[in-house]
Amino acid sequence: MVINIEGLDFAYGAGKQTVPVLKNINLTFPEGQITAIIGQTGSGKSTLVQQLNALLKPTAGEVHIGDHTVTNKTKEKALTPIRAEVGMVFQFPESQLFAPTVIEDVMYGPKNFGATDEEAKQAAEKALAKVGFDTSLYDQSPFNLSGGQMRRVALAGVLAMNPQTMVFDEPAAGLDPQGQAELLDLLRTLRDEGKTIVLISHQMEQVLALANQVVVMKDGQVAAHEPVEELFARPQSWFADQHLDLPETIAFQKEMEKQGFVFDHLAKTVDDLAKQLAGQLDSAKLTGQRSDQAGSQAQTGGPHHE
Amino acid sequence: MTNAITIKNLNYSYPEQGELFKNFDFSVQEGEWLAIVGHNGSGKSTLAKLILGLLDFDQGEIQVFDEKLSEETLASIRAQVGMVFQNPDNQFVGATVADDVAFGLENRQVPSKEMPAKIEAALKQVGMEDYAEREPHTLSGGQKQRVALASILALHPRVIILDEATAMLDPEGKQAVMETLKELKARYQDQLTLIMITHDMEEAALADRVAVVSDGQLVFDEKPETLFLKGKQLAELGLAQPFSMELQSALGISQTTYRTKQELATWLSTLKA
Ligand SMILES: Nc1ncnc2c1ncn2[C@@H]1O[C@H](COP(=O)(O)OP(=O)(O)OP(=O)(O)O)[C@@H](O)[C@H]1O
Ligand SMILES: Nc1ncnc2c1ncn2[C@@H]1O[C@H](COP(=O)(O)OP(=O)(O)OP(=O)(O)O)[C@@H](O)[C@H]1O
Ligand SMILES: [Mg+2]
Ligand SMILES: [Mg+2]
Repeated sequence: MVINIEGLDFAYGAGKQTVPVLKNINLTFPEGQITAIIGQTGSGKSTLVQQLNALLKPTAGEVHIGDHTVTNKTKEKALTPIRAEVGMVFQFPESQLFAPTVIEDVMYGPKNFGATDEEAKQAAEKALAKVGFDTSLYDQSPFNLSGGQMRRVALAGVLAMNPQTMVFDEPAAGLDPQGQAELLDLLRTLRDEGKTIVLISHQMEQVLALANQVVVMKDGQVAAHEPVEELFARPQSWFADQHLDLPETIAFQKEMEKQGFVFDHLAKTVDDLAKQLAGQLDSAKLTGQRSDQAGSQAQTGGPHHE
Repeated sequence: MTNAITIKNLNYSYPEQGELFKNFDFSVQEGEWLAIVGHNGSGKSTLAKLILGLLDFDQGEIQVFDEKLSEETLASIRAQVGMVFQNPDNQFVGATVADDVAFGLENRQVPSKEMPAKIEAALKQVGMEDYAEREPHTLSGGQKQRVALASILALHPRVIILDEATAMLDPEGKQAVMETLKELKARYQDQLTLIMITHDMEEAALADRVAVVSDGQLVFDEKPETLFLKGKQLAELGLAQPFSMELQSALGISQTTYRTKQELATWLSTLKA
């Protein structure tokens, strides 16, 4: 399923109180790919993705979601089937939790779209396992959980529904490092299964590792929309203008280039960066330095005592 | 050295769940910059809420400066400890952004004449001065986190606890908050104690000391320079190393020296073939 936005404007509120946010957006989200949306705080990312499952309707312009078209005039009733096709994990997970227990919360989606209790339970358990949620907490209230545990329940809620398109608004925020790494694998797997994924993230490393293409938002407009390799090949000054950072691996490459190192491609991972660096290091010197450094560490290191 | 926070033999469990903290001992020195890291559900936020007296512990003792936490000292302790919550929506009380900052100041009996200037200064500190009249719930995620931070900074507490307070900020916003904290530390020195709960290992590496919590237990408690040499143990705890140490490890360099990104870049350039 392809999502296509044409000439979209969006303003919050009505009458005199309107706050215009999105201006003249034209975008396509291709099927089976990961599209990342990045941009400064307040640039309109969360507002934009809420158009993708019609939680917000455009003030002007059209959103084509598979066979559905959403405009300002579209009736609420016509929006319901869209919710089954486009799942959304919100920026603050609490805002989407509501059931008395974790398991019921995750079962709600499948049941709402016609699954039997048994099917819904199976889907929920499978989804909770995928996000590494502790089985002993299934019968807890979703509100009596830690921040990262709530995030996992919210993620599972969408996975259990298994929609064709999934939108994730800062899904890694609040996850511990292991949870973040597992989330990357999960999103990759979903893409490989043919899902259309939209990912908002402030973590450029994640975007570099996952995205096929990137949309850069600035003041409610699209400042760039291109394949990920193209985007991160832009000069550092461009990123500074957008108030964005380069991913750590690429920033480190740029730093080393100033020292005379050369790289034949942008490093997507730390391992890739290490490989490209290793060939340019004097291995004899490296070993020498190593034992040297180890010696001096013995005097300054050691655990800290109060 | 005076302790800002002393925790002795603390026991706490949520009624709905099994035991979390058992005979937990911990202290934070006055003027220290402490980071607390640990897997999801390890007890970090609970610990912060216990210190603020938002939860009643079952046994043990919590002392903030020279006061033991009890019903009688609760107000005085809360006046000294400011906490930015993990979800800013749980912290907002005002109808507008300005009201929200004002609320804490009123509680501390700041004369109303001084309020507008204080509110403006706090919002400026986080770049939110143009949003003073907005309803907090209509802000973007990062804007909410900035306001939540401003409301606490306005109070100049002796102890600031940040519970993942930068998780929704853009890279520039994160950087700006870290700079603000560094400036405050430089200005107030030992008068300001900073406790930062975070999943961002780069952020944790900026602290004087890092406490690692796992299932309610303190597993490591040391300087970042030594903690972040323990790549394998950290991975087993669901944690990670900062980028510079991951790169060293990927390069096969034995993990005996902690280096920041800049230090690593400089060092590697001396090894160029
Ligand atoms: N309900 C609302 N009423 C009025 N303005 C709003 C409302 N929700 C959001 N805004 C404003 O719209 C702009 C875009 O907000 P949005 O939440 O889309 O930003 P974002 O790019 O997701 O930011 P962040 O990275 O901080 O989450 C912001 O300036 C915000 O204050
Ligand atoms: N209100 C509550 N009622 C019952 N149990 C709770 C409540 N809040 C948290 N817990 C449980 O207590 C444990 C510790 O939670 P806490 O919120 O302190 O973790 P945390 O270290 O802050 O995790 P995170 O990194 O996910 O924010 C978790 O197992 C959690 O499920
Ligand atoms: Mg947002
Ligand atoms: Mg927490």
